Amino acid sequence: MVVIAAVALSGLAARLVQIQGVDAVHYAAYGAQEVYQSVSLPALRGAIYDRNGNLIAASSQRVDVVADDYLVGGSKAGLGRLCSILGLSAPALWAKLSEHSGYVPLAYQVSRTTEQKVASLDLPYLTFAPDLARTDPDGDLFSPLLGIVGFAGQGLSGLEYLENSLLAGTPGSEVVPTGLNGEGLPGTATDVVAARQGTSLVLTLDEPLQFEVTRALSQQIKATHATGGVAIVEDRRTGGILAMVDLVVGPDGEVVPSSQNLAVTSVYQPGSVMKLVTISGALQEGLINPSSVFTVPYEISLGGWPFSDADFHPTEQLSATQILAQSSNIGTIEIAHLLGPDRLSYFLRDLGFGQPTGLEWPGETDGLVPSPNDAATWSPSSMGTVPIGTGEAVTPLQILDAYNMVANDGEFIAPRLVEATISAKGVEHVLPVQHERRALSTATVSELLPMLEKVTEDGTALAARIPGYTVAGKTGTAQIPSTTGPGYQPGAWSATFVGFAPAQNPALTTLIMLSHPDLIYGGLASAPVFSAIMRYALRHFDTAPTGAQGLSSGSSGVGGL
Amino acid sequence: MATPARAVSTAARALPARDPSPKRARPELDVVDRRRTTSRPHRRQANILRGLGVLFIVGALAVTAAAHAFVASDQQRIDTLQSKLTQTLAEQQDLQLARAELESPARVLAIAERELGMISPQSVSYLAPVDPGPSVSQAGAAAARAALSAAETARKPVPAGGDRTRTGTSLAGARSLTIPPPVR
Repeated sequence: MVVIAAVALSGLAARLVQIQGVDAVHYAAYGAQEVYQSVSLPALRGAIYDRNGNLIAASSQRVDVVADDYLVGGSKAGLGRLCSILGLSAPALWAKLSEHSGYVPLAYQVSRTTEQKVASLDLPYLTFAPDLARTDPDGDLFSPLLGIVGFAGQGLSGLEYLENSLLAGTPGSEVVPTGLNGEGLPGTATDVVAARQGTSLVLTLDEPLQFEVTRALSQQIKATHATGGVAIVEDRRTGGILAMVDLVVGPDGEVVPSSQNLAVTSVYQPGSVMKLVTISGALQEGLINPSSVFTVPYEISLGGWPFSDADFHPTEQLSATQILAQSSNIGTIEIAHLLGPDRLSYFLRDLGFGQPTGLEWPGETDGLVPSPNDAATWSPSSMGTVPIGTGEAVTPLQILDAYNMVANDGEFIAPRLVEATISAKGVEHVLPVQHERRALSTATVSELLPMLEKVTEDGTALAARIPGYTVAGKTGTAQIPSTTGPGYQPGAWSATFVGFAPAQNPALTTLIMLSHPDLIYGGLASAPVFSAIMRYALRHFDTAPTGAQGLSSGSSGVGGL
Repeated sequence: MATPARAVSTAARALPARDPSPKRARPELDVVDRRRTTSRPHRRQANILRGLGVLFIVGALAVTAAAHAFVASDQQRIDTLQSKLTQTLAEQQDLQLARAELESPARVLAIAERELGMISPQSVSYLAPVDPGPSVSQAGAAAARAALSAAETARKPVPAGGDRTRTGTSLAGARSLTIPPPVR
């Protein structure tokens, strides 16, 4: 008996030693797991401001209303009021509460006021889970640029995706002892690691200008029955994008923001705005000067394909300046032949086509630019199509940057959307301007500027003129390729105007592109929008009038700007 | 086998008989009254010290308990303030968002047009200086003329007390022009 008792006691002692000694850590952890719960503390996403400090996107703390439907029972007390607070119908709410899942989210990201109203109902089966909501105070004004933030608080597209590593911040954590019902005991958190708020961004965008550009472009899309359009305004000196608008006509006929940033992610055949490449290349190479005269027929044949000017004319003598001002296709092709395929291809890339703009936008396309070294992209007619902008596909931002380079005395500046960052502690860090490279000599630019100014003085873009300011720029009109096979869509055109003002000392460079307008020409459809936007923008940024072109005063015909 | 061993052990523990006549005489020992070993003041001092020690320990414990109470109380206040701070920051953020929504150009325009009856003009006239200024092609020549004029002015002495010629533009002669209809 004594022996049995001794053995039993020894066994108990051994077990005691095992539990309290050998496996003590394991059992302590097991116990802690039963009692303590590690809770993730979400980091507040950084805000986004425009260049004037106007808030254009911010996160705010919200809660999700969650029900444990096992605790509901058959009681329907308070459900009527809950329906009215959450905006749910009674059958829908009751269906949710009958899921038998134990965790039924009834409403996401409700406000503090709504939370208090729901809490006052004192329904035992309701709990509140912390959540964060991303809000754009300007509605969809910046939506193609800002993009989308998912439920997990991660940027999924646009700027929210591009700068997610900065904006997201770092989540924190804490350990909370829980009660019998599994809920944390208030005021007992331990091992608290505070969440670190994300970095805020100050953009180069200007909220009032973005609004005015959206209005003007939207009105012209309606007026010309276009299917969409793009408008970009850029600060010549810094490359900062001041406004970037992408609009499309929705299924119900309303003009709405595009779901993506078409200015960077879509390509099109730009037409005569590409004549800049041929003319500037020939000037740079010393092959022509603004007064060089060419014999220009109405029509020529190249690689078996006919090329002609837009309007019939007898064979005439045109200077290089007139060729650009009147947007002569044949004259430009003649100059391109002086340049040759290799140098034409070189200047295409020198002016930034066929490569990223430097914005590093998600989904940005390089465009489609043929090369004489690639037989798959270059054909005998390419020396006709490429110089006049129908043999390549480029993005609106690439075109804008090429003209901004001319406005900036031949030096490329990478476009940018983020001007500065603000840390969680409030320290602002201004990002430097990226001066990239010199593409054209100052001598070439000094010859090119008067030629571009002639386009708006007595060329194809009289509607681009701005009273009190000199304007330089270029129109572009091109047919839209078929989406089903070779050839073009009948009666479908894109109309572009890109230019800068004041011509002598440019402050702003602007591009307007309309897709499928019934006024097909860039000088008719897009140039008036340019003028309207620039009238507002130049005064908005306190740019002193330079005189010329509009002389003393004038009126805007678009958007009442 | 065990019995002899026990016998040996017992034998080993047997003590030798005492010698009744010690070889060396021991001094006489008296029983001393305990109260005589320390003086009365000395004892009082010790008691005081002991009392002080007890008091010190009790006091230290009381101070520690009070400090704990203060710390707990302050921690509670910190928790409350932290909670209020978090709540206030959240409210501030909500208010900033609300302000941004109220200042939204689209909202301001909608209220102005729908509620206050504002009508956007079909066209806006801008006043600008009469002097058109040079175009790019004229700018070089104008700059050269200006430089020449400046050089000549520098050569001429300025008359004392003479009136300066007022330069600049006047809006008095401003006229309203409309851009001619666009042509391709």
